Amino acid sequence: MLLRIFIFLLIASLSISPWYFFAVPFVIWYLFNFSGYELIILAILIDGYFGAFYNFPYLSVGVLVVVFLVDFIKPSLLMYTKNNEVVS
Amino acid sequence: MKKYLSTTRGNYHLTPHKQKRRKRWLILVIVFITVGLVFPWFISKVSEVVMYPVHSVVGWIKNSDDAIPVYLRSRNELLAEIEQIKAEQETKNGTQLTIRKLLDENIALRLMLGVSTSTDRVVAKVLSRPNTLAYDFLQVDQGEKQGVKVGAAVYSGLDSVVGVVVHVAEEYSFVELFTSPGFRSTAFVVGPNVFSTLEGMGGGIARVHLPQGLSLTDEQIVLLPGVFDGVYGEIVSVENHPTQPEQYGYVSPAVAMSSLYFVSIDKKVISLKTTEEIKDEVKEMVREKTRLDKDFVDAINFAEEELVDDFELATTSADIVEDIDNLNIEETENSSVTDL
Repeated sequence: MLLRIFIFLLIASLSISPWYFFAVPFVIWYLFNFSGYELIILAILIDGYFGAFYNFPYLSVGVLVVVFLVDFIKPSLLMYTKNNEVVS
Repeated sequence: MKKYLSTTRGNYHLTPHKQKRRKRWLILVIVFITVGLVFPWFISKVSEVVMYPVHSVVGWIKNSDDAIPVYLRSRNELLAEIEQIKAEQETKNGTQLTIRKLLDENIALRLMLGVSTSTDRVVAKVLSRPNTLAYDFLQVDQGEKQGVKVGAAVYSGLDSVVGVVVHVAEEYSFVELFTSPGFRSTAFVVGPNVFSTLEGMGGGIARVHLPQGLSLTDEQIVLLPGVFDGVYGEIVSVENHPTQPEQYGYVSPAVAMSSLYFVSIDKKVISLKTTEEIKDEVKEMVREKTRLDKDFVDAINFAEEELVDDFELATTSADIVEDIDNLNIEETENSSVTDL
């Protein structure tokens, strides 16, 4: 849980810093390891921070699409045993 | 085998509970985005408050003088500085080019300004050259509105005449070049000091023909006495077959047609002049060009009547030869030869 919070805060910090591109691998890792719904809220807040809602919130919509896409394909990328155990 | 696998017990199938949770998130997110789109100021205020700690941390890393931020920043700052210097260098190079271009244009315009104020001329920009027009004409961007008239001489630089205006529209004009095929004009060749006929050959070259026995060599200046300060160019090649009665000198203008960007057009139309006036003007031109003594130049005997067998009327355009012919007959009767 602590790791999740730490990565989430790291992504938030990186996203509004000049090193925002370093957030991308963390986001991908986060999406595949945890459910990434909170990242959508974060994207909305970042869009609000930059005033993107006055035009179009590309980041929010992009993250929304990515989160649900990953959520959709994640079961297909996991291997299960006969005892319904997932091999990570 | 199973115990050697890194396994995690869990159920990753999409259960109804998960589906419900996903739907809940989706609705929440859509509501957020809709509220944001409808009330952007509201989302911005909320973001400002919620993101404040993150903003502070990032600000601390970016601006603080503490050890950790300084350590994090130093390398990135150096990289950024390198990028900035590179960008500045590129901009500087671009600016240098712009400055050079403007400087060249400025010099050309100043030259033309001097020409246009010292002599009564209109400065015009060349719009099209013979290679882009169906005719062997120059198209310039000054026309009737600016006082351009048919028959006016067109110069490149101060005294290098390139042609004559043959058509004037309101906003533009066409200039027939001295090198246009069929164009004929009286010319004076400095060196042998004889009058001859300059014929346009096309392709930026004109030709003068002189009888055998006269010294016709490269780099001799060819003047057009019919035009004020009318230097046309210099002889670039001589064709001389001893068995032939004439020798030919090929003349090229001082400025290549492809290099012509600005020209100046005389506001006055070329006027008719007597032989004596022409001779005086030629002597004046020769004295200016060669810087010879006035008495020496005055002593030069022009030998056009004796040397040029097929003495023709001096003209500046093939189209107006006939008009001049009639005029010449009248002038000849009065013991005066008309010329341009």
